[in-house]
Amino acid sequence: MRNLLIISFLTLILGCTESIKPVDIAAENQILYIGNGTEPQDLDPHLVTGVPESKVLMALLEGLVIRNPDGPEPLPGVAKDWDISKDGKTYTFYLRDDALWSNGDYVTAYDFVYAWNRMLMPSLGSKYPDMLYDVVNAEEFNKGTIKDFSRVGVKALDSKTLKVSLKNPAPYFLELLCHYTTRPVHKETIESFGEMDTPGSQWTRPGNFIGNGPFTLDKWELNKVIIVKKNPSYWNSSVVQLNEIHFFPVDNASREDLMFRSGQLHVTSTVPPEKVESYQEKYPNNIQVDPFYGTYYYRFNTKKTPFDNKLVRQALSLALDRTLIVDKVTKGGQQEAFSFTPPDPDAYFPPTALEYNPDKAKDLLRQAGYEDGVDFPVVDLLYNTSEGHQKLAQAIQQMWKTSLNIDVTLTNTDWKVYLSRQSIGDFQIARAGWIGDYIDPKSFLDMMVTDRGNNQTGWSNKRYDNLLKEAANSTSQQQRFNKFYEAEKILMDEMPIIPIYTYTRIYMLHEDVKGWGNNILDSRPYQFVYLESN
Amino acid sequence: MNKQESSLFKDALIRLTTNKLSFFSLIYILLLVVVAIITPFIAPYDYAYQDLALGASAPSSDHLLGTDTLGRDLLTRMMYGSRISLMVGFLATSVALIIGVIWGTIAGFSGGKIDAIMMRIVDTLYGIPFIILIILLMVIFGRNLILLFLAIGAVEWLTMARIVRSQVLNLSKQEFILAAEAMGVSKLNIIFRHLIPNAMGPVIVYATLTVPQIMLLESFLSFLGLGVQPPLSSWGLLIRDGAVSMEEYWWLLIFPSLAFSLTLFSLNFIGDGLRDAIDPRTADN
Repeated sequence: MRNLLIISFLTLILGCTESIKPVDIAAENQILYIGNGTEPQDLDPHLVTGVPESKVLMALLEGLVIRNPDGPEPLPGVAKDWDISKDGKTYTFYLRDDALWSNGDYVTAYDFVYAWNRMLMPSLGSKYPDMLYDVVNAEEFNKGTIKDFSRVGVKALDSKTLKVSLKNPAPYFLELLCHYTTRPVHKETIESFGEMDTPGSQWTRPGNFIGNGPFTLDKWELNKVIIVKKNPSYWNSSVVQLNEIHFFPVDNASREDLMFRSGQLHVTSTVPPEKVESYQEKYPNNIQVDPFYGTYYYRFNTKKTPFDNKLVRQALSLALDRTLIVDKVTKGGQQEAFSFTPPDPDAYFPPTALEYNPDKAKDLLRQAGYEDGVDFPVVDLLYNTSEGHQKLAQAIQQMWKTSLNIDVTLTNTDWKVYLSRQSIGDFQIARAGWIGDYIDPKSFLDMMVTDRGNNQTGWSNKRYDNLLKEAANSTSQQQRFNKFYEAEKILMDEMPIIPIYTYTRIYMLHEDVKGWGNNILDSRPYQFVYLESN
Repeated sequence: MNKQESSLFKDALIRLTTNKLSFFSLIYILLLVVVAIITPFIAPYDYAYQDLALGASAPSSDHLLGTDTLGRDLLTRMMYGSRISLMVGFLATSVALIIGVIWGTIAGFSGGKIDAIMMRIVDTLYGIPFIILIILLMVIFGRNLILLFLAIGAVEWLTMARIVRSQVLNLSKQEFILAAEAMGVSKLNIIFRHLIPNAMGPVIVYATLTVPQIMLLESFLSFLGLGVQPPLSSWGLLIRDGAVSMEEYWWLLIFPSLAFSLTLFSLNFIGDGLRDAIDPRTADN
């Protein structure tokens, strides 16, 4: 509240005196100001799961390949070249000779083996180890059935050659390697602040952090700002034009909006929903509505009553008028989601079964033993603090009340509490969003397999697990997609999660930002971004 | 003694009603309280009823003060909001008043070691971050509106205690207290009959200022998820939501703010009037 007042006051003063705004002189100094949504949980690539964290890690660490800002085909990163065997199961990466850590050490194939070993160690407790489950024996090692990491299919043939063996062909594997979980970490740094598998140690702090990305961590003031500076020892540093990037953890959308309009940010993380329409008229050059490969959904805790009952979950989904939600509540060009996987540019068409049918919803609830909502316990809906989530939660709260006569309380907490409550199962319904890590239905469907770190619903279905295994072993893309289709049908019948809408990435972008690129995963390597005033 | 005191309060009431500004303020607050109490019977809509298809609409004959972005009637929400805001304001202030006045008087009147210890406790409590304290209370006792009021009150009494103590320190050196002591009046009687009534002026002014302060605090806590939870609303929350979209939907900010500031002004005027009316030193007969 006070901050809001101060900022509005500052805005007023700045507006009156025409003094210099940070973005006005940013082009001269090449400093990019980014509104990054919320304070990152950590900066350890093997422990974090969120989008805000991924934005910072994009600057700090570089994997074998990097995301192409303008398309799906990855660009060479630490690997200057690679071979893929004919059966699609063996990848050999040739690392470039000039890849350095920010302290001057060489980045070697051993660093990758170390990093992957670390992420797969069961004792580290990574939520994301399944990213590497395509690698031979990775899953077994992570589950503890194999203790010897040398049996896992990643080998350093020499310091500059890395061989990865997969248990099945994975057409998306190169794209997956753009993800931060597969990036290398600096062994000496990690081990000088704890064991290899110590979570949350001090190695991610400024001054300690050794990275190999285009930028290095300069400053991290909690809830204030994270500053990264150009890394002179980065192999491709001649391309990097930005000198600094400042990430601001602003989770209040209207405050972020004020910051953008008072010239303190180049890029925002979102736009307040009630502003979208008027900004499309007022700031058509700034407001960006990009297609986005992600789904906004609610997850149920299927371990607790009443959501251990499939009929209840189905009833709650049937009572949602998704069309009304995207037209009247979110208003940002989102599409109603009728399946978990977003409609796919690579021609995977998910089953589109979800409908709005309040009568059927009532009927199902009656069958579940709660006729007209009688005896239905008051349930709690958890979301992380943000106006957008709150607005939608209120709309949905009312929809359930009107059609099913059930009472829902709303609980909002900050990002870290929200994440940890979900991971320990301390919730009944929770808001969730999932952005694909690579463009493939697997990036969505695989997380719902029994006991996956990001499943977090307690839901488990043998046939679903098997279908995903079969999909992995498929020989043709068509066969894979058929298996995914079958699996998703089960998922949308069981409904441990209810998809609500397909995201659009909606944000404000300053005119001076160039080289921003366009891809539906919204990941943009900062080495290609620069500022130029018109 | 009794006769004299009852006439003091009668005089005070007369003086208060002759002060036009505080008189009208009093009427306004009383009206507000009455409306807040009978809201469930007279509200035009249900506070949670949404007309999503309608969305935000400007004031019209159907919705006198317009609707918010979820199509809920603003007048209804303001009426329900007044219940929460007034309750938080008055309840928490009373808690703060009672603890603060008693604590401050005892400290100031006792002096010496007791005073030092009691005031150091106040200083220590000042040092504890307020939000953390509230969050702790919520964790221990669960989320409960009444508890929230009490918790706010239990934190807000500190300044009150300091004000009262300084007043009492000043008063207890004066002749009428010394006289009472010399006549053998018990300490408890001195505190409640002489010290507290005489220290009331600044206390009441501060109390009327505390009410709006607490109303604002409540909206801040609700935003953090610790106070009122949607779909219920309070004035503070309505204003915060309105401020977000003031360029698009002016009525969402203007009407709740108007109601809120009118209330704050009234409370201040009443405070001023009361101070003039109650203070025995301004007695004109």
